[in-house]
Amino acid sequence: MKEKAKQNISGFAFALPWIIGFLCFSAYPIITSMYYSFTEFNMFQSPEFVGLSNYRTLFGEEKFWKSLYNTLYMTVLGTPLNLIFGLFMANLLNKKLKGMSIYRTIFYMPTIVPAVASSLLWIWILNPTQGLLNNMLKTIGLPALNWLGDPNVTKPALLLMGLWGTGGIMLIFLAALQDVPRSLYEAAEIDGANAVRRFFSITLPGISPVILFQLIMSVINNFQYFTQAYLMTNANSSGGFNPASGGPENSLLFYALYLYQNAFSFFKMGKASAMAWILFLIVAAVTFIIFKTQRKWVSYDE
Amino acid sequence: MKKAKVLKLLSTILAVILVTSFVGCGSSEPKGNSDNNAVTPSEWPETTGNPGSGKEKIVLWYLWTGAEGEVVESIAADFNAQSDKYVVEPLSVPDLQKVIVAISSGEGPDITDDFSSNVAPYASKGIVEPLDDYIAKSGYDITDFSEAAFETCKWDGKIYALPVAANNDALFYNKTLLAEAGFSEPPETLEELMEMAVATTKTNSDGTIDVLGFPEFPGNPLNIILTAWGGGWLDGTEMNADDPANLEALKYVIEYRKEFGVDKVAAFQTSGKAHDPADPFFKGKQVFRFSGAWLPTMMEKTFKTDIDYGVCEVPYPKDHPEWKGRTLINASTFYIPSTAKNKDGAWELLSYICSSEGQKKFSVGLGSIPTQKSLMTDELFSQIPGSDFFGPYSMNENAVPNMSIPQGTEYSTIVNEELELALSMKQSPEDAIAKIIERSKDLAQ
Repeated sequence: MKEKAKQNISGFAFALPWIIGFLCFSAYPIITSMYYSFTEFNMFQSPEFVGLSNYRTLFGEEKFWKSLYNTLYMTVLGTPLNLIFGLFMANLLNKKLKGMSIYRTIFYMPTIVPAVASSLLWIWILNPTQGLLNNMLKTIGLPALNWLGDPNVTKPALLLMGLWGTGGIMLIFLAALQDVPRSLYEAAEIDGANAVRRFFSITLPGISPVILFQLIMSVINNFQYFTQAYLMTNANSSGGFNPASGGPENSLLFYALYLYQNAFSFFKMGKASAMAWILFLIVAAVTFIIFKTQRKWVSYDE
Repeated sequence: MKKAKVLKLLSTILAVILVTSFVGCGSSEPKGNSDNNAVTPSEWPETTGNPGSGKEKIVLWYLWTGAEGEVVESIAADFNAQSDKYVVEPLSVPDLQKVIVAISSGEGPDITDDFSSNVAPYASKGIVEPLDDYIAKSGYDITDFSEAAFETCKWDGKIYALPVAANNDALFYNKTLLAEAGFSEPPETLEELMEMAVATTKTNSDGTIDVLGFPEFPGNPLNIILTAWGGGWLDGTEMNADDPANLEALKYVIEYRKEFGVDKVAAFQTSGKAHDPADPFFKGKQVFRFSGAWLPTMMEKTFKTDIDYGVCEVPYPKDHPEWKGRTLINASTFYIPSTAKNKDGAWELLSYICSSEGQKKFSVGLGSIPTQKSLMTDELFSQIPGSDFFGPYSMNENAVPNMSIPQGTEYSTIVNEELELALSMKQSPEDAIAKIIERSKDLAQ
């Protein structure tokens, strides 16, 4: 008993730094923000309790729903796009060719570029008259769109930018692909399965736990999409001092960006806290659904 | 046995270090807030903040960086040299959000700068210290301030900041491009401006704009035209969206877009890079441009552009010559946060910066227009390109202070959203203004 107790205490002691950190820097702010969501608080004067007023205002606001739509657009379209592209690239990089390590490095490099730097870079690439993208499109004969100004194409432009940075997803898929036992492929080949059949029957089920992980991470990240949108809307503020821009016709007003504006441009901490909790509930619900359905398609073979 | 003991000791020490580092992490001083015993970096001006010197510290945070920041640093050094009681510790903090959060938690500066558009939003939240008592007690002379600039620093009957520079927009024009189309003089009236703009615009074969005639870059000129037409989104501190002049101005600006195509104008706007060597106006691809007093300094000193340009007052509507010279004045201001620790010291520094001596140094260094009437001399004009025009222009009798209101940010967001739809012709000007009135109804204090 004494030994067990000693071990427990030392285990707890080693975990103590993390526990303290969690309580101070995570738990306390989270609980406080829940309290603030029921108040009107501008950071400088004491918070004023208003009950569910913030939530009611939000649900009645057009901009709230627009920001939710923009974020869902990014998640619903961006997640499968990124996963499929990442998996496709991982497959290509899984072949045994000379110089494969160089190719893998090249395709992974965009991920190392900080989000801020890559956003600024892409603002130039997407420039309607002088940018790389439109110049390339024009030489092929495709229409050169106003990526930064036309509200219909601003989000597709961001999706394109996201594809450029799928190196991280690709890397993890690559590792997962190499874990699929070669013997399964050989057996299938002997039985006469072609490449496509092998992919769908062996590869996909084999890496399905990793797909699940990437799916959840990608969904959670896309729901919090902020950095790129913040830089794009700031860089493109056409005329006038507009501290709370959402891009052309608010097409780039993502949920996290609108939250930020409520907090720091309009000084409405209460409303922003309410938005944060609504987002938490939505993401929790979505993650729960994904977990519930995973038994149907994820196979953990031992 | 011995190895295990050593390992155990090592791991215990590591755990202790981890725990203490977490505890120490909690209260960290804001970066650069050196106490008297810290070593100041060599690039800071000499501050006599040595232990035992007895001088009170004044913490100054400012938004400028680079060369402009150095001007502020040298003004701080001048203040230190002539003050027996105080020593300023200046720090460049270009992140406005960080400044506000620091002020709200009481860890902010004693004095800082911002635009006059934030006077009402901040003052109404209790962030700013009113200055009336300080002015009365020290007998500070406020009559030398230009009225329009000084007005912008007031809210609810009290003075909350002092203006150090007056910002307003004038019409810059490319003389060469105008002469090519047969115009020897810049436009006097808004009707003439539209005529010249249309005549001097050059388009490519596919309809895209090569040379932009109307001042639609970097953004739409609506607010400037609104003012020239006698209108405004605010009349003093009252919301004024339903002013008929606003509708007239909006319809006027749309005229050019109708002529050359909304998407073509939009493409020109998003493809240009403002205040950069590739700026269309600097490259002779823009005929008319609305901009501030800092543009001549930028063109002549920073980028050394070689276009033949002129600057004149914003044109007035043909039927209302009484509004000649009507321009909106915004001010760059310094203010004392309400959570400042050394308010008396901050007031000393504030009155110094905004006095003639401080403003002169500030204006020459930053190329801005001071707000002291007595500084409008040839001696100053010779040192700042374009100031011989902008100085008197910012103080002319039709200069209108751009007052701020507590919900200023929300109001301008609503205005911008609806105007964007009107300017891209997705809704009529009348609907846009009606929507603005409707949506801003709930913002009333």
